[in-house]
Parts: sequence; structure tokens; C-alpha cells
Amino acid sequence: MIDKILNSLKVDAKHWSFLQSVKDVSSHIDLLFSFVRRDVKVRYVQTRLGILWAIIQPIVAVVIFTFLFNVVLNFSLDTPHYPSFAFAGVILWNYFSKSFSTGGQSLVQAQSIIKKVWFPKIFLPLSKAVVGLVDLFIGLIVLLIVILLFSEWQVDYLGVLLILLSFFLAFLSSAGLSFWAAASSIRYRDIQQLLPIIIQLGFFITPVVVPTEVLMSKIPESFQYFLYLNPMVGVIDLFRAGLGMANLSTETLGMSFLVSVSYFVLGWIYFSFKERQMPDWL
Amino acid sequence: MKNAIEIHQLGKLYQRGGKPSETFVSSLFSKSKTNDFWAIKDIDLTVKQGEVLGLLGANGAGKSTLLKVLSRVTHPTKGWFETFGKVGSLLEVGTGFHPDLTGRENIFLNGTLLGMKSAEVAKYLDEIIDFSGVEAFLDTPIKHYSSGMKVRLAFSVAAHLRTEILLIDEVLAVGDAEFQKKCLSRMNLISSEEGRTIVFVSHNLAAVKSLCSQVALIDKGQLINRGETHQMVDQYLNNLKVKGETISLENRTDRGGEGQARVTHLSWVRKSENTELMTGEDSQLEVHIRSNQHTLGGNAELRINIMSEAGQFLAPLSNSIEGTSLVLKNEDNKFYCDVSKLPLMDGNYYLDLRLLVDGRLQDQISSAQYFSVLEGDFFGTGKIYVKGRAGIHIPQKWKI
Repeated sequence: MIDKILNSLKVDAKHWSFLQSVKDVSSHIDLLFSFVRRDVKVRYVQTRLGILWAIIQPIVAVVIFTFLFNVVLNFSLDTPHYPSFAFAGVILWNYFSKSFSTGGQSLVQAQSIIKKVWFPKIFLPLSKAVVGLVDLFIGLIVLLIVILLFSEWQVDYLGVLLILLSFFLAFLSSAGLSFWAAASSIRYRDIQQLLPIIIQLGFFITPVVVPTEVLMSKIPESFQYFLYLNPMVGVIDLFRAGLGMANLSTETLGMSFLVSVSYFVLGWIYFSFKERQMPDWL
Repeated sequence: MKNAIEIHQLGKLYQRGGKPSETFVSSLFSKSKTNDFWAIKDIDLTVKQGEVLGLLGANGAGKSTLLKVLSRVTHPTKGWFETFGKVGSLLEVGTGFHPDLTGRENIFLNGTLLGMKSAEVAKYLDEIIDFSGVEAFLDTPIKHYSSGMKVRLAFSVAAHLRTEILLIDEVLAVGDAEFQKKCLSRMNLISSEEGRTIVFVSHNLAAVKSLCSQVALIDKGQLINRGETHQMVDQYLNNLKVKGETISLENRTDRGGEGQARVTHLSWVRKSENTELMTGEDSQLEVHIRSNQHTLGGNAELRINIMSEAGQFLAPLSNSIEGTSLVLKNEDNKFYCDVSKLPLMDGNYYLDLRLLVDGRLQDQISSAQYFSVLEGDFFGTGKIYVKGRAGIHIPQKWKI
């Protein structure tokens, strides 16, 4: 018999390696896509409107905010075609908050599988962030149609690149945060109660329905820098810059890139450190 | 031969009596509990390539924990192990099945969850479908499947897992008798494939004997012996016998349940010192239960399983199915169970025991009592069927 080179694996009670987690993820990547396919398929099963729900919710939100600012508050935001401006913020924010919260709950929900079979558990929150991209792209298509029909904004090739980059960074940061939330909510179920509050607060320190300058002007100057620790500030800026709705500063670009990537990497490291104890905590 | 699995001083510590504090605030205030126990402890074991190793031991001995650690479902508390070759584990069937997905979609989901690549699943898809026998319903969501169909589909996926090392738990033999036979012959086929290493956990001694070349005996979380299958099976049976015969129930420590009530005595009533139980004779089982203040006045439900020496379940004795309620009136209670015309054939048996009080499991002991039955005249015809074979006589009447 010819000796094959067998891939060996050592599991030590006292030893932990992040590299092993990376290896596991790459060797089992097909499972991630199985999870994604399952979630996409199951999401709108037995609904009449199906995938239409992906755009109904942001449209309703935009109608509410337009009404709120224009009629109730009589507060003019110096921006041409406010509905599409708000729609851009809302779809990206919805993506972020949904990936963050469903990802954060994903481990507790899958506890019966976790106790029975080993697999890279990071796929559970990660798949939620991938699944959300489907709704996000549907929202983008609707947005582009609205922009082309009703506004003077133009989207060029660089714009498309910026849009895709902003989506990628939104993916990294929401996944990274959900890694943290998922891993710690196994031990402390309180996190699950805390998540909606964090997300609600996050909405108010993110330029979702107002321009970034307006948000910045309400915040003392010394705190403005900290605002960029909220990854979605830079990401939404980037998205709107790609759509021609805002100007892009290299500072914003660099900062949001740095923040998103480090959230993702740190979240993954934390998750893989906690991963060993997960079945016992459930 | 090279090693496929090396295990060194492996241990797993669990906390008994519920999970540790689950909220952040209570974790700040709670003191560490000392209610820990080692499910497996200091296990040293090597498995060579191509070896089929059976793990034998009583319920709760740690076999399944060892398998769970080796398959990485749970992380060890102590020691380390190393595997050489891709590891696949079949501890549960049908994990991750989603009711809204079709049979075909679930094959892919379950297959990748077990560690297969999508391309591998696709390659074996026809075989899997063929083996499961549910091809007519492949594009139906599995929420419309019967439980038998689900199980068959699940096993079919699992049976096509091709890894160099396979960890298998006995739960795999599932479904109806015909499908069980199919599963066992499938496992025979898998284990005979060259170079494949298998670790197999089972209570079914017949399956262990036919599948395994080597057996490791595990008791109370520790490895007590390891060697050639027949010797180890004999030793296992002997240990069962010794336990059931010589250690009084009161002093047994290998028991489960909450412990608010304990069975302190369980035996067949002997007419005199040396009389043996005989087939066809009216017999009586005596059970003593000691309750503390928590269970006093509670409703006891005894579930006593008559097992063959080979570990096969034969028949239950239970006051609840028979319809008698047993109330724990005193601290020490005695109950009797009459078995008229004992139907057990000539052979050796043991009793597994579970005690529930008001629906909560209070006591659980494997092989609580070991006993022999001598062949007697069950049918009153003076004829004896076969000697030395554990089994049950059914009252019957033949006609022309």
C-alpha cells in the first residue's frame, strides 16, 4: 500500500490556535454555502409576496422619514431628492442591523446541531451576513432605478466600485460584530436582550436618514473622531459617495476600511477562542 | 502499521447539577461549585490504521463522551489526542435537517455538515438516493415525510461518508428491521474496506463481535483493558456478572438520577437459599426504595428492563404500564412484582433499572441485578426447547 500523506490534527486541552480555525473554515467552506442556500430558501417560504418583502420594508421606512422631516418637523435637509438619499441609508443600515442581530442569535438557535456534530461554528453568524447581501442587492437595484428616473445623480464606474467596496466593508463589520455577539451570548444570554438596544442606539449615531455633516454638527468636535468607531458611518458615506450623493474624503475611506477589517479579524479571533467551550455552555 | 489515532492522558470534566450561571450578573456573585465529575479520565489509547476498535462499557461509562471528544464536538479538559487522516463522525443521524427543504436539498445540507464537499455529495447522490428508497419524494419538503423516511434518508447520507477515520455510535442502527439489516451490512462493508480506521460504540455485543477486531473496555470514565475482541467481551460479561451479583445495590456508586429516592434492593424472591429461578415457575421480584423528605408521599414509577447477557433488551417490568400506582409512604418501602409462569428461557440475564418519582428521574442503574434461569417446563409438556440461549417463551396454542 502506498503511504498517503494524511492530514494530521492535534487537539490539546490547553492549546488554542487561530490558524486551526482558519484551516477548518477553508476546508469546510462548502458548508457555509449550504447554510446560505438553506437560509435564502427558507426565508420567504410560504409567503405570498416572497422576495418583494425585501423592498417593502425600506420603502415604508423612507415614506415615514420623508413625512417626518418634511411635514411634521418642517425641517429641510439640504439634499436633492431626499427619498432616494434616505433609501440608500436605510437599505445599508437594515443590512447591517439584520446581519448583526440574526448573526448574534445564530448560535443559540442552532444549539441542537452544535451539541451533536462538529463543524466550524463561525459559519452560523457568517452565513447570516452573506444571506443579507441578497436583500441588499435587490434594494440596490430598486435604488438605482429610482435614481436614474427621478434625480440628476449619475453613477459611474468608480461609483460602482465604491458601492461594492461599501457593501464589502458592511459585510466585514456586521459579521465581525455578530461573531462577538454570538460567542458571548452563549455564555451570557443577556447579550440577546442587549442587542436590539445597541442597534437602536446605533441608528441615532449613524447618518442613516440625515447627511453625515448634519449628524457631525450635533456632536462636540472632540467626540467626532470616535464616531468612526461606528463602522457604518464610514460605510454609508462611502456608499453615498459611490452614488454621487456625497463627497468622498480619503480620511473616511481609510478609517472605515481600518475599522471594518479590524472588527472582522478581532471578532473572528475572539470567536475561535471561545469556540472550544461552546457545546458545554449551551 | 502506522497509528491513526493517538490519545494521551485525555480527560473531560463536566459540572453535574445543571449548567453554571448563565447570566453575567450571577456569574459575578456565584461561587464555584465543586460538583464536578470526570466523564472520561486519563485515557491513553492508540488505534492503528485499518483497525476496527469497539468501545464497550455500561451506560454512563464514558464511551460516548470519548467519541464526542475525538470527533471534536466537545473540547477535552485535559491531555491531548492526534488524528492522522480525515475524521468523520456518525454520532447522530439527520442532524441539521430542515423541514422546509426538500429531500434532495437536505442531502446536501446534511452531507456538508458531516464534512463532505458538495462535489462529493453530488458524486454519491444517486447511490444515496438509491439506498434510502425515498426517490419518489426527493423534491418534497421533508416536513411531509414520515419519521421512518427521514431516518432512512439520514442514514443513507451518513453511510456514504468516506473518511480515513470513522467514529460511529450505535444509534445508527435505526428504522425498521429490514432497514436495520441493511445498515449493519453496510457497516460491515465500510469496515472491511482497506485502510479504513473505525472506532465503534455499541451495547450490541453481536454487532461488536462481528465488526470489531479489537475492543477497549471503559468503566467509570477510565480505560480498564484493551485487546482481542473475544477476550474483552468475555471480560465485559464477567464484570457485569460480578457487579450484579456481589455489590449490593445500596453500595453501588455508578448510578444516575437526582438521588432524592434510591433503590436499595432488587432481587428475585428465593424459596430457599439454593433454589434457582426456573422457566415456567411463578416468581416474584422484590424492590426496596428509600425516599427522603423530598420524595416522601410521591408516586413511584419503576422501569425495570430485562436484558439478555449479550445486552439485548427483552422485556419491561413496570408498575405504570401495568396500572398500579406505588406511593412512597415511608422512608423505606417494599414493593413486589409477581411474574406468573416466568417466560425467560435457560440463560443469563440482568436487570437495568430506572426509578421516577412524580415524573422526575431519581435513580438509574445499569445491570442492577444479574441472574440465571434454569430451563423448566413452561408449556407443561415436559419438553425443553434449547439450552443456554437467553430468550422469551410466548404462550401459544397450535391448531390444525
